[in-house]
Amino acid sequence: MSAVMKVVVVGHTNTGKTSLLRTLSRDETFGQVSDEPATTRQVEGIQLVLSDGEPVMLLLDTPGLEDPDGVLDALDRLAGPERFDAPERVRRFLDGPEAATHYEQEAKVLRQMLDSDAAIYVIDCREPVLGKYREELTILTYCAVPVLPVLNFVANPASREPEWREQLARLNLHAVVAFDTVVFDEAGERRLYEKLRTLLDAYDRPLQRLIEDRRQQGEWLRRAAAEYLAELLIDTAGCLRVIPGDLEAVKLREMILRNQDAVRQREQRSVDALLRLFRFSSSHYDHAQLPLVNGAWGMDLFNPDALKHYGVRMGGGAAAGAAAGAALDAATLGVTLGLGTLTGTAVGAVLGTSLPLRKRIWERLHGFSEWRVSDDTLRLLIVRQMALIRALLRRGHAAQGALSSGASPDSRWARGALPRPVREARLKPKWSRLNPEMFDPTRGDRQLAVQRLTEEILADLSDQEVT
Amino acid sequence: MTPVRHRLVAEAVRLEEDRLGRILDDPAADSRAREAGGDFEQRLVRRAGEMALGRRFAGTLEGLNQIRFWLLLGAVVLALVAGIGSAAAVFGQDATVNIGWALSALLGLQLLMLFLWVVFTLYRPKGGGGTLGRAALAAVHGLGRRLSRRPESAVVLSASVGLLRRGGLGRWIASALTHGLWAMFCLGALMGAVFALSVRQYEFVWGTTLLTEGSFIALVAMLAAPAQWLGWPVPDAEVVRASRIGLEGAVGRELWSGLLLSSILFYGLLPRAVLTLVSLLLVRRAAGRLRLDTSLPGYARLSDRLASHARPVGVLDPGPPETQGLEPVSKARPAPVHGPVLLIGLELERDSGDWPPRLAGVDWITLGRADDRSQRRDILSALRARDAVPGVVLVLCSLARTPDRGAERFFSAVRAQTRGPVWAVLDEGRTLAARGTERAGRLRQWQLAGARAGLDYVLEIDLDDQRHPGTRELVELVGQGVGAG
Repeated sequence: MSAVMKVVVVGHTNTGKTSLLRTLSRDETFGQVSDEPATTRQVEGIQLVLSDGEPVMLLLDTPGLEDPDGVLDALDRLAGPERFDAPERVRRFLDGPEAATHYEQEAKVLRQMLDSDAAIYVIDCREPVLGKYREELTILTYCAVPVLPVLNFVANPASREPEWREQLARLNLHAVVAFDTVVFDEAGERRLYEKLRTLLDAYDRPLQRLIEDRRQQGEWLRRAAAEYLAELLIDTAGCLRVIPGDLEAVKLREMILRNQDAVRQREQRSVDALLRLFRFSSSHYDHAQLPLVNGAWGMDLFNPDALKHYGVRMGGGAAAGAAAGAALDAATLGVTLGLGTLTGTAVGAVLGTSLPLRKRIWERLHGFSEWRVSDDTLRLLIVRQMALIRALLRRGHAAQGALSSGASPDSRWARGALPRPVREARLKPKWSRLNPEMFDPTRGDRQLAVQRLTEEILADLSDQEVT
Repeated sequence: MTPVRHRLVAEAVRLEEDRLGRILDDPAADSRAREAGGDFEQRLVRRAGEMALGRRFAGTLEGLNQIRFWLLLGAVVLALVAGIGSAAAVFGQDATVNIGWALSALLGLQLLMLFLWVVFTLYRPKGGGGTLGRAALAAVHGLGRRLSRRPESAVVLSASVGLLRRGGLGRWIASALTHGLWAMFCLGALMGAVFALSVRQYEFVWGTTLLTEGSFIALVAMLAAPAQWLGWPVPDAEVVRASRIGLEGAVGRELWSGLLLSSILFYGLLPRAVLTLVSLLLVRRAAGRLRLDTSLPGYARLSDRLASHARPVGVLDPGPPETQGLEPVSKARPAPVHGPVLLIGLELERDSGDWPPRLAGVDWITLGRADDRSQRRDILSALRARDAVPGVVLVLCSLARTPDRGAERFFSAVRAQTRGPVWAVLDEGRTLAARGTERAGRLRQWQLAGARAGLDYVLEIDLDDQRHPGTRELVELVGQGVGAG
């Protein structure tokens, strides 16, 4: 028994063996993947290690089995009068001439099988349970190594998962696990390792540590994603521009457009950071039309249709105005911050900010108005970014299709009150990076707000996972 | 550098990254941290230390610590001088010293502050640590900020403020400062008193208006207890009574001065020195236990960068050299066939109720389905058993399958068992489309497989769609064979 367990990944050709390895190792550059038979023709290994670098498991990628019929025939011929047991017959087959010629590919797989602690048999469960698959499993059981069937493509509508489970049970393979290599599922990965634990008693401890390590990593990842969103929201909520009142209409529009651009760029920075965090390079998906640029994602933050698309309730001012995105924010602010309302509590509520009160009243009296991002836009930001984070959390590193935010899930912030720290940030221009001249990063209260908002977002993310 | 300083640098790097709003890319530092291993917090610390920014912060910290050292030295000297000064004030020009007054001047304030420190340490209204130490810490921070001109020092200082709040580290540093400075004060007072009592002669008296004589005697007995326990001569009740103001003649000068000095030693210097030591030990313990608060914004996003997931070990068994140069089966349409049409189903999706398939205008003889070994054997022997040359042998395949060598070998076997032409007919393109897989590529793979097996023609049809061009072509090509068998 070697110190690091050795698990060989086998399966028919083109079922996603290399994809499984990519997903488990979080390495989207491992091996070669294509919709061709026999893309992998060599045995290549990758070591799964814990966060601190300690190796736990050696995973071997193998060429696909293609002709189990022929191999079974050859093994039957070897049975002979001497009555060798199954592993011995496999060994003799490997020593024979056919293993070097006709069945070179299958021989590679069987050689690794004999030398491994366990095998993962990858199944494309969109396929019917054909005779050849049963024959493959028969050959694998000859190697006297525990086999864990893994059902790939379970998330596909064409999946025949129940059929496969029944047939596998008939073949006496009762430990089966569903794990989609394209649609990543943390719980699925954990189940896979748990099943391996039941098969590999001797490696119980390392597998347990691997499970714990991956769980922790998942938690850190979620926290980091939530933090990026929290930062984005705090920055956007506190964004403030003072606009002189005597500005011409054209200039005003220009100025508002410029401000909107700043907010959009801020969102894009957050998206880039998220992609990077999840180790997806946006360049990698260019050819696949990343919808972040083109599809639903391309919908403008300030476009009223976008609000509707994501099920964000429009605020009263916006609905009444039904104005084009640009004018919307300025108009709402004109109402709430106009001179008429600048009395008593309104002053306290709106101006409890960092600009000296006197200066702001002076500005108001002299016809300045303020531009901020509307509540609806903030809601849209939350919903959109939450959808993106969810999509990223569920994306396997074998996925080659375009990243899409999918249907808009119903976030509790799509309607109703914004999270408390966001509302607080509305009144704190000092917290916003979008106000470079006011931004003050040394403030501990901003850090606290980011921390609290991160927790709220994390809670919302896990809520959605449960339902 | 001590572990605390390493963590301080890490915290400063986090604050700086937070200020910039982005992670500073330093792949070399990341990979060194990954290689060093340890838990996440240790890797964070390692990364910060390896970064260029971290090294700058470490330099700044070094400078700040020098400033701190000189400031601390200044404070120590100041405390010592204050102690000497208060002793000088007590033993002034007057040759008569009021014992009660002298004791309260040299010990009273100090004991009151010690009492307050105990209260604050127990109840921790603002983290505790003692007023003097806190003030000293604040002064050091404030002066450090002013004295160090580097722009990084502001970041390092706010990082240390944040870090000192964790695990009681700041509290015990402040405590150590508090007690240390008071110890210095007491030492100064002791030195001043010893000097004054050595070179001048004093009369010791006491008096009270409110209290009884007995209570003063009890107080003296209490103060004298440690010295008495050590066997030093102390004023007894007789001497105390004799020294009251208004009585004639000074008694027990040595005894009184001994009491005064031993009180400073036992109620001032020693407890403060012990508490300083204890505080320093607690500082060490807190420093040893100090960990970064990894839930602070900015740390979580580094987790993935600093964690290893997998390590490629390369190719263990190389693949065979690529075989190239084969062309797909020619697309040239064959002539219409005459003679019986034989049909074999190969790994089709359709269930047995749907077999054999019907196609209007074509009457085929089904040889069965070749899904497993025994079926294939039966089909091949049936084919071999036929004497007449068939018009064509159709192998109906599913586009949903990936053509593998097993299918190829079956094609070759069929090819070998008959003298008639063998065609692969590909159905179930819809199943493939439903999976979202590209059709053209799959078709080409089948054509290549057909070519390798020596088939005569590969045709895509759709049995459920009479108007599919492939289906129409098949009907045109083999429709002649109706009834010919």
